[in-house]
Parts: sequence; structure tokens; C-alpha cells
Amino acid sequence: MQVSIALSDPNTAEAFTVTRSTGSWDSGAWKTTKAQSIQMYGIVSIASAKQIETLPEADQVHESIIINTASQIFVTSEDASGTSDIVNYQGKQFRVLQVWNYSSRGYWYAIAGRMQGS
Amino acid sequence: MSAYPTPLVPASIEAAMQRLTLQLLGYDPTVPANNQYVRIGWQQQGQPAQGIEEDVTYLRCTETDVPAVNRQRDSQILSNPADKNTPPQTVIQLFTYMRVWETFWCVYGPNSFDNARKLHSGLFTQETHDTFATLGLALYWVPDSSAPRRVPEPRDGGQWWERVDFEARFNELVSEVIVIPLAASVEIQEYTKYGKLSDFTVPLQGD
Repeated sequence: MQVSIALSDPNTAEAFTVTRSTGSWDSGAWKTTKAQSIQMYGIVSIASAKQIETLPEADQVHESIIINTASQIFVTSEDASGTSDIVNYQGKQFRVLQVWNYSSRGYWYAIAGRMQGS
Repeated sequence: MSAYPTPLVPASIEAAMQRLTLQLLGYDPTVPANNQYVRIGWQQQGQPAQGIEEDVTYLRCTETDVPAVNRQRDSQILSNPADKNTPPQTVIQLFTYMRVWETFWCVYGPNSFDNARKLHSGLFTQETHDTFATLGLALYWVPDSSAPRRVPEPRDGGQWWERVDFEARFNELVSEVIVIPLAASVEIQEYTKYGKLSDFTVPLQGD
């Protein structure tokens, strides 16, 4: 089966946006110099269920998702040009933590963790 | 109260330390491209890492507790130069104390050991004092730093990355000012068992 067919099937896939940031160091601090909002389409599923961690200060919500998409997804670059993509999904932001490059089979597989406060 | 330095916060002391570190390692801090060689840790959204063959230094600053130094607070009542009233309606209370900062350097790269030596030795030079003075900081190195420690780091792929850790303490003279209102006048009412005897106001006398 051609994977790209499933990734574009509206019965399984959905639209989401990815914020891709590039930057450089300013007085030693990393500054984003360009942030692009990229429309993507793919299959989003649960990597780990929404779960709370009870801490003395406040509850913290943890959640992670799996993204399968035909578009390339980035983690923080090794050539120092940018930080991990942020996936905007259902009103929440998830930072890409892991990426599998299956581009030879027509897709990218990524796991993203929910950013606190998003 | 601009007569006193603004108390430092992590972002301001780390920016000063980044500039100092660039200078002590021989980089011109006015060249933007040199910023990548000395980076500040704990970036909110993370930051890219360096390569195994790159000489990059990371730093971060936190306050530390030194009871012999940071417990005493001095307090003075002074005239308020911003109060132009006659007589003045306010004075200022000035608190001064010493705060101790600790700066941690994590020095990576093939030249990390020698770069740590440059950092350590550079702290003894006038350049360190002058850098802080130029920035208007009441910050002074505590000349009691331990030797840098070589701690090569195992990374993925079975590689050892050269790394040297080094830390130093700096005393900051912190000044905090609060404005205290003064009484402009005092009303005195005198009573006997037959009723009010007098009622008068004594204004505050000027200089």
C-alpha cells in the first residue's frame, strides 16, 4: 500500500500547522529570527495519554502525540540553524522530540510532547 | 533612584558574563558572529548544540548563599533628592547588602582545557574589573576560585567530547531604596473635662 494515500485520506488524516523557527545567538542568548507557520496534513494519533502530575505547586499536564505526514519535520538542527518544530494541534502546542525519516517510503514519523501552558 | 545600580537579575548578569567570557577567550564582543562561541544556558525553548570539533562555552548564573557575606543588611535614612517640596514630604530608606552570584562555565571543544585556563587567569586581570565597571555593575570577583576540572563527556556514537567545568563567585553590592512619607504637619487638640481647650496645627519646619 502506498503510505501517502493514507496520509491524504480525509477519513484518517487531518490538517494541522507547524511553526518552524530559525535563529542565531544574540549576546549569547538564542533568538528566533524567523518563525514560519506551515500548513501540513497527516495522521495524528496519541503517543501517551493526557495525564496529570500532582506537584506541590500545581498540577502539570503531560501528553504526547504521533504525527505521520508526507512533509519533512525537524528537531533542533545540528547545523545550529533552528530549534525543534512546534506542532499546533487542536489548540495546543507540541514540541517535536523525535523524528523518524521514512521519506524513502513517502512519509515522516514524529513524536511531539505538549508544551506546558499551551 | 538612578543614583544606585539596578539589582541584577539572571539575564543581566549572564549578559555581562557572556561579554567578559568572550573578551577573556580573545573574541571581540562587538562582532555579532562571535556570540556563537559563548552561549547562555537554560534557554526557554532550547538551542542548537555545538559540534565535537567546535570550541563553545556555555555559562549560567545563580545566586548562592554565603552566610559570612550575605546576611548583613545596612540601613540609612537619607534625604530624597527627588522631593522638591519645602519642607520635604518624603525621605528615602536605603538598604545595602552583598549578594553572592555563582557563575558556572561549561567549556567544550578540543581547546577546552586551555580556554578554561584563560578564563581562570583572566579573572585576576584588570580587564574583569573594568568590564563590569564599563557596564555600570557593582560586581566584584571573589578571588578564591577552584581549579577548572576536566570532565570529558560520553556522547552517542561512542565518542568522548572534551569538556571542562569551572565556576567562580562574584559579590554584588545591592542597593534597595524605598520612599518613606513624612508628616507635613501635626494637629494638636487639647481637652479638659469642660471640653475642648485648644486646637492648633504645628507645621513641619524646613531646613
